[in-house]
Amino acid sequence: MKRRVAWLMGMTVAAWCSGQAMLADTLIGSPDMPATVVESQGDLREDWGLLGVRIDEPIGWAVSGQEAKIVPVPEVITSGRAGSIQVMSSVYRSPIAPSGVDVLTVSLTHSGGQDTKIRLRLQAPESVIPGLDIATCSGRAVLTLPAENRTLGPERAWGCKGGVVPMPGWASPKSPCDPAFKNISAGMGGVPIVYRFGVEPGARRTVILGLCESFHQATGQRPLILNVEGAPKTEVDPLVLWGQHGPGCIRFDAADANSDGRLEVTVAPHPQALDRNPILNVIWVFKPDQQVNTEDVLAGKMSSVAETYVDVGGSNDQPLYEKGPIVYEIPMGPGSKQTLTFLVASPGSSVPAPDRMLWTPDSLRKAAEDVWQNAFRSQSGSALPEPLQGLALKLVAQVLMTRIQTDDFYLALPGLSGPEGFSFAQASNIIAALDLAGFHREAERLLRVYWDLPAPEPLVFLSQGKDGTWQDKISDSEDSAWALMALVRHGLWTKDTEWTGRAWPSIKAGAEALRPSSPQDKKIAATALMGAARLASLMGVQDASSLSSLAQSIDPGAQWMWLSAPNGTGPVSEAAQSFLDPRLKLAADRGEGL
Amino acid sequence: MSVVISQSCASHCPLSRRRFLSTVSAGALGTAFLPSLLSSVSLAEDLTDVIDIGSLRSRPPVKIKGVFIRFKPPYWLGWPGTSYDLEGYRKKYMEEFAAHARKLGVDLQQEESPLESEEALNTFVEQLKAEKPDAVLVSVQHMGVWGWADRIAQAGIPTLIFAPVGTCFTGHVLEISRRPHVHVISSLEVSAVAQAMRMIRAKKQFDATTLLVVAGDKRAESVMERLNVKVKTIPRRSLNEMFERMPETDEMKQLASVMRRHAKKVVEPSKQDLLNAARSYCTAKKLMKDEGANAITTDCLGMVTMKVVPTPPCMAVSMFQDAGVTYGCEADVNGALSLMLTSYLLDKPGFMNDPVPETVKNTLVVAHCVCGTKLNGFDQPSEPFILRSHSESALGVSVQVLWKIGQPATLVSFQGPHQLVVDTGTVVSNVDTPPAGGCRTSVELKMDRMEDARDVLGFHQVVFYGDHRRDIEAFCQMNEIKVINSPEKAPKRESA
Repeated sequence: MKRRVAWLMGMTVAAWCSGQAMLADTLIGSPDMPATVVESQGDLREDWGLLGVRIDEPIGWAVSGQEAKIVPVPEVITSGRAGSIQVMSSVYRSPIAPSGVDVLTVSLTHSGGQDTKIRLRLQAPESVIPGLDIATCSGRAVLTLPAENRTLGPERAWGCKGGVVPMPGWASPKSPCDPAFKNISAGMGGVPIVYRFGVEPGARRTVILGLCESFHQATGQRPLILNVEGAPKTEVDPLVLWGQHGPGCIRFDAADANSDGRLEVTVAPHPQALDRNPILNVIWVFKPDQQVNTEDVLAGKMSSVAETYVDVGGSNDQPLYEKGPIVYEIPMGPGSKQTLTFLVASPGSSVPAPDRMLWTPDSLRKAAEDVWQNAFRSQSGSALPEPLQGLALKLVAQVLMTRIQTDDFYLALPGLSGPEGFSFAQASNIIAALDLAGFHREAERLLRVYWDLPAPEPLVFLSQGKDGTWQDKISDSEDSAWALMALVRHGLWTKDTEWTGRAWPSIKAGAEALRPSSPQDKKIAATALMGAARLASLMGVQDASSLSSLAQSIDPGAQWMWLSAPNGTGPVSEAAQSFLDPRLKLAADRGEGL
Repeated sequence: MSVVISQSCASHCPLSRRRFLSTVSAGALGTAFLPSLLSSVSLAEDLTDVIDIGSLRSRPPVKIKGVFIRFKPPYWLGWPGTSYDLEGYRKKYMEEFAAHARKLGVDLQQEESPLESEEALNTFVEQLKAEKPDAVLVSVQHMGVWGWADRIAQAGIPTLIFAPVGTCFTGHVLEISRRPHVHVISSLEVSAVAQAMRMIRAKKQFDATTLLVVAGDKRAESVMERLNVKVKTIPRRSLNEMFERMPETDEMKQLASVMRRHAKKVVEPSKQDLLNAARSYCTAKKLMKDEGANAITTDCLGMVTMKVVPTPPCMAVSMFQDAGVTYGCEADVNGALSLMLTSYLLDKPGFMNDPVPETVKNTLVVAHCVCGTKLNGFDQPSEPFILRSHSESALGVSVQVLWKIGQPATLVSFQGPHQLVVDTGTVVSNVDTPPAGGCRTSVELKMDRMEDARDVLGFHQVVFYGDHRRDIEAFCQMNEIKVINSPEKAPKRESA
């Protein structure tokens, strides 16, 4: 790979993005949580698919601009218009326990003079199944759906309200029983399992619920609350009643108590449950004149005569509503505003059950602001002048959203990638930029893998070799020189003798192992060695003159100076370069040296 | 010694040893590096810096608005009665409220004039909505103004209502006193108003707390629902690595000496054990400061099991609790939340423990190797204590605190942020090890209102001095936390 060495003098100031121009893919997230990519049209690229906002009515919807903010939280705001409707969608990560969610807020403003109706559609993958208040994807709760103005598909005669995870074959009944006992649905994270069955208003039914606990062995782990409309609420621990893998049935004399023509069945976690994921295996609904023998039901002998027989999580299970797009039809008067807030599962997370969560738009926002404020607070020294300070915060935000970590070792990556995307050259720019921005602790963390042995898997391949060299998977000849450069800069710039003392054996071994081949490589190696010589002097060790001699043997004109690795691709590399160029120019203007 | 320079520190900040040395080294090299590109950047702090543990406690600003409500005097009949000295008591209560607020660090802004009309009430309610204080303290001076109190409560601001005896009947408070976000004090006990202010302060302290969880191998930060505590997890090795780097300092020697001198006796620990324990204390302080944390819980047992530290942190934990800074055991977040509750709400240390049933006497033995000594309150003298080793490992220093026999006690246990177990009992003995095994502070409690001590709910419950059941329940009501009492939850034996 051809590399460019950029010199401090003559460096130009990069233009930093701002305003309403279209942006390339932008990251949002929270420190050390997997980031979400926001595309130029405002669509969210999550690990379960692409989610976007579309305006079908009025026609003519088009995105007009996009703005990326870093302070107080990384956020992308996408603006657009459809006729007289101004649409602004913003998205940021709220780090709510345990894994955070993306908060998508759509604000609509009607500037026309007539009443109108907006048809807003969420563009989601085919695999997303919308429920009443939550949408799932492969059993994972991925999206909360506010009820107001929602247009639901046709309601089926019976079905599950949604938000639960079907788990066919999960149970292993230990005695003969209906085959549906093998399957379950689970309400992960405490989501209640809710089914509705169409009946005549006020009608009575016999409802049998079938349960079989195949995970826990001890009682008290997963007690449940069974709430069948018209019958007393029942607390049950299947393990107490039937033991592990024991299938069992509980009978309810149910009634449509509120005469809405729907019989509702809910299985929720007991407040004392240690395992908060409720489960349900089978539902039978019998007409009131049907003689029901619970043992026959358990044995599967009455499934065929049941009015409704639900193999929960199995082959005949179905959602309550016919599948269709997620649509909101919102009436708006002249000058009016409307806001919709959706919680979106970010990579690795699920959204909480809307009916039980206390989070509000304000508290979600505050959670994000608190965490980012803590992260930005780690900057040492006084703030830089604008726009450098903004660029510095952008850089550290990008690093915190993308770095890989394992057991207190961290990797500076140019963007969203695995360790194989790591480059010592690119990382040297990123780490230098962090130091120059005052984020020394973050720089120090990213350098640990360079000098502290052994690094844990999966980073061990980046550890310094026994011969004192470093090598990434991009395999440039300059890897060792850039690695040494990064260590030396941090030591010299922070003058942190305690850290340098710990890293020094590695620095020394790395310096002595440098065997540059190309002319380009020689320049980098000689400069790094000159830096190492200065660091040796700072430390008061005896290696300064020998390192200096070594540098001059490689390049007689060697001197300590700023060298920049070539510009990389990826948001972190770009953020580092956007910061470094003006920061170094400022230093040059001020006559500051290294 | 601290050295002051002005070149790189505009505010004349003192230099730490680490920075001092580095400055000297740089200077010795001449001016080759100067002016540095980073000359305005401060360097990492010295491991030997003395960190004031009090600075780690969550201390958010708390603003409470105070107001008296009454009909325009003079009164003719109707409670509190014509003979009641309205202005005298208003002045007295305002002074007492102000004194309590000062002591608690609460900014109490009391209206100078009482509200005596609908118009004044409306104006006040609008002000409240605009200002959004953390709470409003309403003092009732006529039995006929409870409707006004209700309207203030409906402004959406947490509401404390003080009704001195003679300003309400049971019927007046029956509903409003059980409402979420409202706390009614119908009493002449002004100290209850102080406790109510503490309740508001406690929630703010939770909101402002970053709990450092030292466990596992990942760094992460999230925010808990309801209590809004930020939970910052850092890899476990962060603690033992910092411990390794932490030099023995004068502070540690002094701490070790103080603990030794104040102990009733020292059984197992050596002088070096005490120094290690003090080093563990300073390490935790440093880690918390670096991470911006106000409370900590560590995978202490894991570290002892893996032998990565020479001492468990037990003595340090006790010292933290006495200073009002939560240090929880075993990276148990619920346990740490329960410790914070007693610290923030009652200004007392709690004792996180393992529950052991004593089936012969039908009592509960609560046992762990960590216990604060200032069980009567942070500003009160310590209870007598003995320095022991950590029982399970026979390592380090653990504090066996001798609890007062006959002392009422309360037990709390968060089960997530939405639910709290609350029980009460009385101390009947201190259990020695040996003959018992288990943990060094081992306290036997006779539980109240429980048929069988085996039915006490939870694990790592936090026990503390005093019957504070009503204080805890009031806090839970204010913050819509579900309260569970063990007696109500004894296992059901029926079958279906």
